[in-house]
Formats: sequence, C-alpha cells, structure tokens
Amino acid sequence: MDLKEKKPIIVLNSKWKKESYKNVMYTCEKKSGVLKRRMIGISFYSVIFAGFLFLLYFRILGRYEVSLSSNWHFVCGILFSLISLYYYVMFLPKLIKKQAEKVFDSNKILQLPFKVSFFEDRFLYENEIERLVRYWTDILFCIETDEIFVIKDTGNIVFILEKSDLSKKEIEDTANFLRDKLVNRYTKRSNL
Amino acid sequence: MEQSQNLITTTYLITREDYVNLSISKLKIDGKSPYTRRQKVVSFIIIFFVSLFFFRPGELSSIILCALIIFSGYFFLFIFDMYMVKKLAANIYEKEKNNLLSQTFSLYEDGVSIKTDKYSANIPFNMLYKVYEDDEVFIVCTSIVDMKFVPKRAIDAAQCNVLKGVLQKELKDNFVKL
Repeated sequence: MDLKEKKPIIVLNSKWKKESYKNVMYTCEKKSGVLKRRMIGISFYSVIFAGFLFLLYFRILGRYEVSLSSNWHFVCGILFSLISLYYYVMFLPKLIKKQAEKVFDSNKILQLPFKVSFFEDRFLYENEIERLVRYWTDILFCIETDEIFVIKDTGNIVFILEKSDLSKKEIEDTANFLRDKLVNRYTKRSNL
Repeated sequence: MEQSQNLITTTYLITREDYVNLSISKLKIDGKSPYTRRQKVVSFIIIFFVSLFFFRPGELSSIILCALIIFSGYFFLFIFDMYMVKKLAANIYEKEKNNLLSQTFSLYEDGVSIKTDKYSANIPFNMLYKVYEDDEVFIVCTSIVDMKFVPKRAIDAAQCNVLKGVLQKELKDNFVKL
C-alpha cells in the first residue's frame, strides 16, 4: 500500500464521539438500511389496523352479538397491528440507536484519535492501529451538518469528522474540497 | 508490533465456500446473542396467536390447520434460516466477488496483523473484542459487528493449533468456540 508518494492536500485530526456516531448510524439506516423500509411497514400495519377497526365497527353496528367472545378475532387483529405499529414507530429507531451505542462501546479502535489525509484521488484514514484508504469513486455520499462531516463508502464504512476538532479554515477547506470532489454526492444541511 | 516474533503468516482470497462458511458462523454468533433469540421467540408467539384466528373448538380441520401454521412458523424461524443464509451468502458473493481483495493475516506474540490493498491493521490482543472459532473459520472481531476472518483452509493443522493456543491464552473468555 504505497500511500505517501504525494503530499496530502488537507490533513485533519479528529476523534469519534458516541453521540455523533449514534446519530450517523441512524441516518445511514434511514438512507439505505432497515429504516428505509419503515414507512412501508407503518403504512401496511396502519391499513391492517383500519381494516380490522372497520370490520369490528360494522359487526357491532349489524345485528351480531356485541360481546368480546364473538369478536375476539378482530380485537386480536387490532392488537397485533397496534403492536406492529409500535415496533416500527417507537421501538425500531430506539433499537438502532442502542445497537450503535453498543457497537461504539465494544470497539476500542474506534475510540482512538485519528488522522485523515485528503489526496487528489483518495483519502487515507489512520490511527495508532489501522490504516485505511478509500478512493473518491468508492464514496456513496457525504453530508455536512453544523457539527460534523459524514462520509459513507460503498462498503458500509462511515467516517465522521467533528467540526469541533477542526479550525475555521480547516472546516472551510474541507467543505470546499469535498464539494469539489463529490459534486452531487455532497449535501449540506443544518442537522442529520 | 511487527518487531515482535512472527508466528504465522498466510495470504488468501475469499472463495464462495469461505463466504458461505463465514455467513453460517455469523448466524451461529447471532444465535448466541439474546437479541436474536428474543426476536425469534417473539415472532413465534405472534405466529401462535395468528394461528388462533383459525381455531374452532371441536373442529378437527381447524386444529390441523392451527398445528400446520405453528409447525411452519417453527420450521421457517428455527430450521429454514440456515438454508436461506447459505443461499443469500452465495448470491452476495456472486455480486461482490470482483470487489474482494486478497488478505494477509499474521499472528505475532502480542497481536494480529491484517492487510489488504486498501486496509492494514496491527491489532494488539487487548484491542480485540472477541475471536470465534468454528470448524471452518476463525473470526476476529474488533467490535460486535466488525469482523475479519481467517479460513482454516489457508493454514495447516500445526499453524491452526498455534493460532488457537495463542488466542486462547491471550484472550481467555473472549476466545469462543462455536
């Protein structure tokens, strides 16, 4: 791996923060992971819920018995769809953030300070233990927010640069450089 | 770390069989996690309740239908997943095989080293999360999701014993036999 044949254009030092990591993982799941399909689940179970409610309502309105024992199928259906909706709306996002927290806590290498060097055709990420090179063509997207830069590659690896670790000039240079390199894969927004 | 004594070095390219074996090992690792077990048990309970929709007391056909639904749920959740994992892994391998790079794995007295064209790491034992071993593969984990692996076919029996011995000695409870 001959990575130092040219001088890097920008060199930055930063450190991963648990809160940013959790939020970034959540965003990545929303963009291309399990949360991307969340709206399908929510819509599906909403329809099921409405359907069972509708059927129960018309059964009660009709001259059928208005007892729980004769309508328990519908009550079970309503409960099942409510539990599923709770899973998609409340439980799944929490679960993903909790999982991200567990990953961060279990990875001692991630907690080391790191250096990122931007070259014309690639960037080099290195800490005390790992060295990793990614070409700009490997990058799926980059998001700049008020607090961080997030770079995600096609192999599901995420890089986070905390703006609080960088000087004003470094932030400006990095933003310009990434915008220039990634063009339409680069997005700027106030938060994730 | 590379100044310490090198015990094993091997270079390998991931084959289709390796990829399938790795996926099965991952499934075994997941099977040990309470989260996966809980998820499966909850799914099975849901299937059980769904089957009650078709239950009519005293009707043999409805009892058979309920039993069939419960058995199918059990089969798909606890038995069929192994087959699906193998099939899925083979499909992913076919898509990704051109992106897979050859890896060099080395074992030193104080850690392991992993190198590819795009990645290199010298990881001391105390930085490893866990190492799993099964019949086909050693899985070196740096976190609960980040895994590097060494297929046993890439090392001979003596090297395999050395690797196992060193990892067992250094990692203690964090070395897990699947």
